[in-house]
Amino acid sequence: MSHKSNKINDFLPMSPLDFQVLLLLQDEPRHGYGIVQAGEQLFPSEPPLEIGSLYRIVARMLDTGLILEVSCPPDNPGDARRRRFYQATELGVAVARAEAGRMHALLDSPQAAELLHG
Amino acid sequence: MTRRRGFRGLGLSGRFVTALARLFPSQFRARFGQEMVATYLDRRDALLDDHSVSLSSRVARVVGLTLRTSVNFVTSAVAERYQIIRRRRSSRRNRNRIRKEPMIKAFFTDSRQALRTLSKQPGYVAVAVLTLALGIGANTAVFSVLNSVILSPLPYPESDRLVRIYNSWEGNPDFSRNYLSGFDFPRFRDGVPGFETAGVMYTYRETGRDITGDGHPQRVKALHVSSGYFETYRATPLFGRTFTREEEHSDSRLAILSHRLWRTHTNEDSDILGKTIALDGDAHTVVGVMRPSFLDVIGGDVDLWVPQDLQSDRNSRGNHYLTGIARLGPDVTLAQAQAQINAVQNQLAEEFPGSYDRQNVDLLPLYEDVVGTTSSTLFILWGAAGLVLLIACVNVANLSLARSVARTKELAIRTALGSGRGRLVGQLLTESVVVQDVVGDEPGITRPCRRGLLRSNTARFCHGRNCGYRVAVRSSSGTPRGARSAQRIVARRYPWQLGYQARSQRAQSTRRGSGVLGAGAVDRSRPSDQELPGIAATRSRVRSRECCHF
Repeated sequence: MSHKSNKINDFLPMSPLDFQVLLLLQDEPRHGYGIVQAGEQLFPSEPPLEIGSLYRIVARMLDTGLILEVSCPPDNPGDARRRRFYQATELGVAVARAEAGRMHALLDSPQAAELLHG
Repeated sequence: MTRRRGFRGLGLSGRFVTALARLFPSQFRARFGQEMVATYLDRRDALLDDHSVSLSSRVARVVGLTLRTSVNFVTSAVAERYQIIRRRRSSRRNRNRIRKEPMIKAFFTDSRQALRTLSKQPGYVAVAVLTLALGIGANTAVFSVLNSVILSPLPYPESDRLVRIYNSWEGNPDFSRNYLSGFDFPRFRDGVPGFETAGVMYTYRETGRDITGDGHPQRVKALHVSSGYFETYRATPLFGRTFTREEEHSDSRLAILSHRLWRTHTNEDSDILGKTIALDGDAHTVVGVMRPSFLDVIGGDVDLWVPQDLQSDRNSRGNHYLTGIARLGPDVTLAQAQAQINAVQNQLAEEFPGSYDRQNVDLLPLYEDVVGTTSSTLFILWGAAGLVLLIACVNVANLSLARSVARTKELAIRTALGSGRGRLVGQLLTESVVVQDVVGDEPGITRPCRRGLLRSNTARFCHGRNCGYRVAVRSSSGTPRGARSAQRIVARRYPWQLGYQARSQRAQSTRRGSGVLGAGAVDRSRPSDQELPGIAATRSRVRSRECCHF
């Protein structure tokens, strides 16, 4: 357990884009365009994910084991373009949770509350 | 990128983005290139299919998307490539850290090895050291002169304010830099407010005088100088005083001694002031002793100074025999002083019509006057000395090369036993540096060369710049020689030569009826590890220790 928590801590703190991609892939598998689409819907205030940056993040997360490539989900509408779907691994979910907790702890401080609520 | 069916084609924008995807590293492109373009096409098609807006708005959005994606592709590709370079460097560093011993330790090991090797070849060392000593000695000697004469400022405080006063005749190149007359100089001295101080010395430099009286008679060099001469150089006496204007006449029987004469002739008599010395039979009162550091770059090295008679020359306008120097005021430019002295000259021309026709007075910075055309001569000499050093280096490099050929077998065995090329190159370079250090660190070797070439005390060998130059020359002449030998190693010739030599030995041994190495090692010109089982096993053993010392 300690070894695992150490491993999780190696990824913290995460960059906002990394965190955003990991959040989008934690509950269901998505392909590249799906990640961009979901990002625009779920985080409308964030700048849109650019394709080059997105795939650099995907490559890095694949290499570090935070996400993995999965087969095409059965409910996915078929299209002519070959898709590769990605989903967060257990480690990826744990890292996202740890990052969310870290940010929550920061936001939970009285100073942050004063900033947010005046 | 393959063209997909059922969707819009790549189109112009798709082809553009596909081309930009080639900027990514090949490995990254193979993994994600096709998918990145597909994602772009998905986004583009979604914008084009949005019929809630007009066609022009859709086109504008696609253009915006394409631009954003293009910029992002370029920046991401650069970042990815940089990341790969960093990763490679890091892995190389880690590999080196594991396999190689520390550089400083390797250097000391190589140095010890080099000393052992060189001690067995005294002939080579002697020839190399003597050849290099000649080259380096000549180079540093010339540079010492160059440094003293050209690169260093004149040895006087604020020497940039010192000027030389010349009289010149228009249209007569023989008198373009003529001397001053005893009549003109006092007028210049008093009439140019831009001069802080000014002085003259007898042009024909030192004159011989005989000191008689107590002890043995001695021939000395005396220089006639006016008041203001020492002040212009800002030279203060060790004790005593300098000459005054009232003493600039022929009846003044005064003398200022140089430090050398005071030390040798008076035996450092601290009560010398006010005493008399007999110069050519006339008693001269000593009024001062100069500091040992004072050196007149124009007047030269003299033993004593006596007052220059300017009183009896008041009416001698045509006798030009005085060398004039002046120190400009703190904020006075050369042009301002020149204008002022021209005004005095014009005044003289008006007072004495006909006497100053076509005559000018020129001020020249003293540094420019002293260095003059010497600089180009010295630079040429420096270049020649550099060529001598180059020839010396080439000769010693050839010597080293011949030596490395003789060491082929040794180096081939080292290579076969697992010594890396870098290590062999390092060792040869270290040997060169060791020879170089023997030359450079042993003053008994290079100093005679320098002293033989240079007998002036103007060049200071221990000056910081000179020492730096000597170190630089020494280092730069050592490395190329080792590099020439090391080049053979870089060319990877040794394993082959081991096979060649082994084959030769086998042939000789076969003729003698006995083998030397394994059969596999001698049947081919380039033996592999499998063919040299003994060597391969040794190499693997050595590598397993992760470092080796030979």
